[in-house]
Amino acid sequence: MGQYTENELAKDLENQDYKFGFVTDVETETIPVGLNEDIIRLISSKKEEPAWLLDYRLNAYKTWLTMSEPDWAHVRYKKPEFQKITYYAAPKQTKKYESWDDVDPEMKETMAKLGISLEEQKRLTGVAVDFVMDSVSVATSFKSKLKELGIIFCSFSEAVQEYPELVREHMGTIIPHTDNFYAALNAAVFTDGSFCYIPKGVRCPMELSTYFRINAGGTGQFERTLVVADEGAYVSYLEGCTAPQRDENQLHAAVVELKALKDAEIKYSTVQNWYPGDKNGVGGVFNFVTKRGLCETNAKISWTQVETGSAVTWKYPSCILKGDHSVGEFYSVAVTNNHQQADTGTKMIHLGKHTKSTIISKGISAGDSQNSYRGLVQIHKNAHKSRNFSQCDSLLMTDHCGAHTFPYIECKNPSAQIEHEATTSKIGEDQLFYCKQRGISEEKAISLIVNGYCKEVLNQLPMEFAVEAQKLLAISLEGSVG
Amino acid sequence: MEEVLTQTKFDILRTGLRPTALNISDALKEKANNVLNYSDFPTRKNEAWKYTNVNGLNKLVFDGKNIPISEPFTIANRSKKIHITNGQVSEGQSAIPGVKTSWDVLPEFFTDDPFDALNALYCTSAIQVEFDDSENETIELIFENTANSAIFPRLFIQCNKGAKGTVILNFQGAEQNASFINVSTYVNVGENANLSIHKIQKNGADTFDLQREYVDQAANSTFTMNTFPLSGRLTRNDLKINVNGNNCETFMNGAYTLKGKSHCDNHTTVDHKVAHCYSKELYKGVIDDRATNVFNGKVFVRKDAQKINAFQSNANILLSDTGTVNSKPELEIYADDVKCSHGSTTGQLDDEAVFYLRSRGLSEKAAKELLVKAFLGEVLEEVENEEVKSYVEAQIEKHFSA
Amino acid sequence: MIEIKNLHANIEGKEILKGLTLTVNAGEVHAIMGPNGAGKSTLASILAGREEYEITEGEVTFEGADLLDLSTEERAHLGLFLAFQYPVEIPGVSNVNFLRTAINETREAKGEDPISAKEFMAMVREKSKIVELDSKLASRSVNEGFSGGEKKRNEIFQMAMLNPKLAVLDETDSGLDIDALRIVANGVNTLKSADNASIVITHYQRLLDYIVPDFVHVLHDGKIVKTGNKDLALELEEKGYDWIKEETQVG
Repeated sequence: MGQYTENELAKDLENQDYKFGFVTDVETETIPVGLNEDIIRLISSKKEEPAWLLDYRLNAYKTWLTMSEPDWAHVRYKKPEFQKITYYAAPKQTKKYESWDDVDPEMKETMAKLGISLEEQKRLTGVAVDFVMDSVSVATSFKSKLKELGIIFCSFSEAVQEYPELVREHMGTIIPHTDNFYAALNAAVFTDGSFCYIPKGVRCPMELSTYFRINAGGTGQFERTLVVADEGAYVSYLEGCTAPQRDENQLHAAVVELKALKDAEIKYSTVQNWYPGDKNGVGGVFNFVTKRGLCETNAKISWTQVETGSAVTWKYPSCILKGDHSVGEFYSVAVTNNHQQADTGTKMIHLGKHTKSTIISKGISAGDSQNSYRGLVQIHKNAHKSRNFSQCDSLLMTDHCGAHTFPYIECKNPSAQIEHEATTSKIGEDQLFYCKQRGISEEKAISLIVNGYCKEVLNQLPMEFAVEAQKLLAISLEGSVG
Repeated sequence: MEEVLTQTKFDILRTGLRPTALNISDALKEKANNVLNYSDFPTRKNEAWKYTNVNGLNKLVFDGKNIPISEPFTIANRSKKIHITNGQVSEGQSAIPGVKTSWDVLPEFFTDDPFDALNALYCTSAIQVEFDDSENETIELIFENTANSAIFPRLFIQCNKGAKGTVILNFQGAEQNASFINVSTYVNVGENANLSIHKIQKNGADTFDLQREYVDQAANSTFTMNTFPLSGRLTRNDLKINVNGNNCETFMNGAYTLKGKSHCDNHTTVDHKVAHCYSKELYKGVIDDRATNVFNGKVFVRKDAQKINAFQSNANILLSDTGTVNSKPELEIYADDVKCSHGSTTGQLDDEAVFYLRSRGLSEKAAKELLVKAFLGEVLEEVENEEVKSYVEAQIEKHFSA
Repeated sequence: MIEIKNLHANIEGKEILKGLTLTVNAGEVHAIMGPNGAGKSTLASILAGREEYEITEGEVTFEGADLLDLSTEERAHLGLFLAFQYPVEIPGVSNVNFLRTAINETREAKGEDPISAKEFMAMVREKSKIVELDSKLASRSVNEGFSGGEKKRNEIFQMAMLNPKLAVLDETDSGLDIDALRIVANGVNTLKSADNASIVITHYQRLLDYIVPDFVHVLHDGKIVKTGNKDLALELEEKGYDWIKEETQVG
């Protein structure tokens, strides 16, 4: 039984609207709107970056100019006007935070509203949190304790200053700036993000966590996360996202790169709750994210995501199983309601021998939304005795939403075993009736059944996140049965 | 504004083809020309042709060299037969009621597919088969390809209201044959009708065979399509079924045995436009040597098409290190009260089972053959026509003994 | 407790109940027997509030309220319990989570505080003994992977937890071997009190050896055509239903 009581759920259900739709009143420093080489130079100089990084950005920008927006996903949206976006917005701040006490009280309040009570978490759960608001990392807690173990966990900008060799060595090696339109854009204009390095043989004793928030209007968020687990290391990393309610579509184009060296393990969990737009599909975040991990020999990367927010989501956290005996996992719950559109899934690229991948995807469509699973399982010639198991289920809540499954299975090795199963069905009338006969209201019965349906995925999340995810599911499906 | 491409691969292909001797309307000719003028061979970027490359078509030489087929190849004894030799309806055949082979002008059916356009413009024979009563007659079209030639049959199969019928499309070519077979088949299944089509593609090792079936089903009808690509350099089947009426049943089965450099691509689409229908699809095959199999099955359930049960399954056994399997089962669903599922598996034969059989005295080869036959047997179980079933069984047997 | 008057009901235009009248008082056990298709399960479904049925005539009063006017969950809150003929599986939802939600929703409807975790767990331990239900089943998903007998025992376990005023047991004996039948019946008997009542719907007399009814009604062609005591069940067992059918036709 979860710690989360039904009563708490009921309270949350009362809150019909997007609960993270507030705007924090902190002064923001922005740069002129639009995108050109000068803007990129400006971003780079504001961040006091070394020359190689500026070159990297400019190079990416040049590549981006030659690329066109991808159009193969099962989503429709008005293309962002890239010259109308502000590419840098930072809470105005003259000095860097030395300690938690230095953080702006307004900002602390924002975090509290988001449920990231850092003090509390420090004490109770030992989660170290990095908080990125409008592209700039504002606080990283618990740093000293991590330092003792040689773990680096800081904002990306700080890493660029403090550990330039590490950043330079790994950045862009898994997702090159040429990878796709939005990855190129990110490489050109990214403003901050998180960096994490776990040294050889170290098991990170606490969950590392980053919260991303878009606060200022008219801005895009382009953060970059790089997690490197050295040989035999282990880390569990959490990522949460929110944004205020705005009528405009805000762009979020992030890049996340994971590198699990020999025998290392990275668990990466996301609860994505960007503002989804209102009931009529006005506003909301465009969430175009590139996430990929590389596994060396015997390494393991596990992606878990609960996607409830964003107007349009386009996201395929992937694993390159390069080393023999490496393991990739993808557990996903994607809920769409009203006019949301999600096209999400994974790519499992099996290169090494005896590599193994598991894909569990649960899609829930409600309202007028469109929810697609898109996934690739690719077994290369030398990936002897590799295995994949995929299970993709879709649940439909109304007769005007859509649920789609587009798996691509490519096999070039005879000793591989690939199994893919998918089902699509309506939420069970019999189950609803059974619950109601036992005195459970329809709304609560749906929440119960949906949570049960997603159990396999929710079980992968660390406890605090699982509780939050359950609440989010309930809120997202408010009044969803048509 | 689209610009006319300078010289497309279609243009090159067309230089070696002889325009149809049949009478086609100016309207159809114009439509077909229009499509071809703005098309080129599909490439990887074209989602429907992601895994299949047809460039080899332009390497074929239609020299008419005669290569007789050595073995007998009619499938059904009980069927009425029409022989089509190298694309032409053989002369001197006695008329069969319901079958039409001569035309004042070709029917206007047309889709925007460039290969259908090609088929219309270079049509070598047009045959209509019409079923009018519930007797379940079997009509077998025997396409006997004894020369390296370009063959463009255009078929119209009509199963009228309440009628029952079976059609066998029997494509045969000698092993050395290098032809281009391009078939468009338009199928109409009337209300309460029941139509089965069995298609056997036993082509020469260098033959390209591109086929399309466009099927429309009216209410309360049953349609079965069994496809057996047994040999050929490249085989591509596009089966598109529109289920337009309520209470329909649709069955699609396929079994393939690929070896050498064979490339086989089965694309199927079943489009459930209305409520209360059932569809079931089962495609299974074994891939050996450097062969490649592509499967793409799509199930559409349109808005308001409630109470649809749709099942789709694709299973592959990869026998060699150099073979490739690409499988893409898709569901696209816009109604909520549905039960749809698909599954896809790719793997090798169960080592344990092979070992078990060997421990009972079977040779490794015999053990594998037995298991493969059992694997494909599931598809053959679905074939009602005993003669087709035993023919395909025999071909599978031969495939492994060769 | 419950008063059903002249109840008529259709499903998809077909009339199933054709004027059924039945009164059940607190402390009573009523058995409803009848041949297949008589309308037994329809009655259970209508009492619980399945929406596929259309009530064309008649009324049902339960605990002073107009039952037909209430939603399924409101009926449950008032103390109506249906033991399903085919209990439904709910993957991923544990039995205890399910039951705690059910109990708390009912409490909330009555304006009571939610049950404490401690009290709840104590209750689970106590009540699961009644039907000899393995405590492991309590933490498993609702009915998922349960055997037929376990499902039926789970129904009675839920009944014990929810402590209803009126329990309607729909063919609870179907598919049970003699041991499971004994356990289920034992459970039902243990829960019997002067304040509650039950309606036992069954096709066979077998169950009534264990749950002794105060009244036995024969349902035929949508109506109760004969009422008697437990001896009537024995008579039906011996002679079948044909004589009832004949009698009804003559009458």
